Amino acid sequence: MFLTKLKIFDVLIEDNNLCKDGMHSEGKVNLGLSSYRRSVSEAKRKAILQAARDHFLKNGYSRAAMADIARDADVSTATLYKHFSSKDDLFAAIVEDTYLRLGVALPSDIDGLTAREFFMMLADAYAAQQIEGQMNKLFRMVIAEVPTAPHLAKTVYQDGIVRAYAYLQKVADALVARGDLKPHHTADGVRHLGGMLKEYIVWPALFSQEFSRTDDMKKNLELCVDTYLAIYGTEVSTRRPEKDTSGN
Amino acid sequence: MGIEAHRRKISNEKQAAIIRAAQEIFLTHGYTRAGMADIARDADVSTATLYKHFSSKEELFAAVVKDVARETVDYESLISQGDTARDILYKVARGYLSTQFDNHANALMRIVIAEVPGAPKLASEMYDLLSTRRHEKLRAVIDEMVRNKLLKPHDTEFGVRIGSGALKELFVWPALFDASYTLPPDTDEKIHRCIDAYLALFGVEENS
Repeated sequence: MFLTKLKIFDVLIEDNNLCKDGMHSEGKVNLGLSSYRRSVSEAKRKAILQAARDHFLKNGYSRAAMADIARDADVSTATLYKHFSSKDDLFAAIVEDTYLRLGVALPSDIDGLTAREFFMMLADAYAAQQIEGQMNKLFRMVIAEVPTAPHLAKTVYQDGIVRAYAYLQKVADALVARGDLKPHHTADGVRHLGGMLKEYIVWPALFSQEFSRTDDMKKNLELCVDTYLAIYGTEVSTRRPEKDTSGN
Repeated sequence: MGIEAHRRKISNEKQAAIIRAAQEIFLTHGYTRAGMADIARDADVSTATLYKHFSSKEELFAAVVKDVARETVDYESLISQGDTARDILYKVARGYLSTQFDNHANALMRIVIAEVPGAPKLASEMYDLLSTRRHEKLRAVIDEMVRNKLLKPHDTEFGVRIGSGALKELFVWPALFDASYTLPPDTDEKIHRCIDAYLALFGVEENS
């Protein structure tokens, strides 16, 4: 069963090159001069992203200045612009980076997981990204800039949201192949789940700065996942699959 | 018509003109940059008259939102004799999307979201109007369908919430990020897949 072996964050990694910020390159010990340079560059990129994130969250998009970000990241503005050619670019990279962390928080394949276990992990990781990871606030900022920076919002939507859904759809397809989900329009199906989760995790937060995790959050997320499985699941959605030993 | 009634009529007309002008200005300039003087000018009233009707910009904006949220659609009148559950749910979904796209609710939502840090009360009022109170209206339709045995008895508050959540995810969410977004060519198919999901959960045999 090749599909159960599917590395589920391939979609997120594809053409995205995780190595850029060093997440996947730490194991490499071959430190020639060029790889030394690369690791310094990766470290700087990381520092820039962290400083930029703090600035955006504190000052909003319009008032965040590239020079201040460079100063806090301890790099020259020339270096900053070498990594990110514009403020738009930088902001989009932060969103992308946050989504990559979501990918890292999830198991690398669905082998040995029930559909319910997978979707519950997903719901928890999504809530953590939006609430503790401050993605709701970043989203509010992007939406506020739609009239002045329309390109930014479109990039965030394409690189963050559309790509995350492509990944989810791939997982749903694998679960259909494994018999955990009924054959269905998986692209819309995962959006139905996303829409349910957003009702509890995202929509109220878009309209209030005070929004925080509620006591019944866990229960509500479970309800959403179980509702999704009631629509698209089969009797095996909660039954533990046997480990794939075919070696494919 | 007595003088009193005449005065009331003029006053109502002015109020409607103010709301219309305000909607235009808010949509064009956003909340912060919208000026009360400009709104008065476009509505062809004095600023004194404007302030007599709405004491603040926040109050005026809330009135604009209320006007949009009042919706052109009267959901309960959507049910006609012989309709299947699918027929009614389809009309409800289309009505919902009409408010979002034809009545500029998407654009107003973006404006409010932008103003959350500066005008938190406005944002919570709008959320109340476009979510909580709207859900109550939708729920009345779903409850009626349950009474008519078109749907199984279920937690209709939850049903409405996830139903509108799915619609928002497919159509409203992308519009928040792109002011030029319009309903896609396969809107009907997408709506029907939402209805399929709802009926799979709560439909009675004939519908599912």
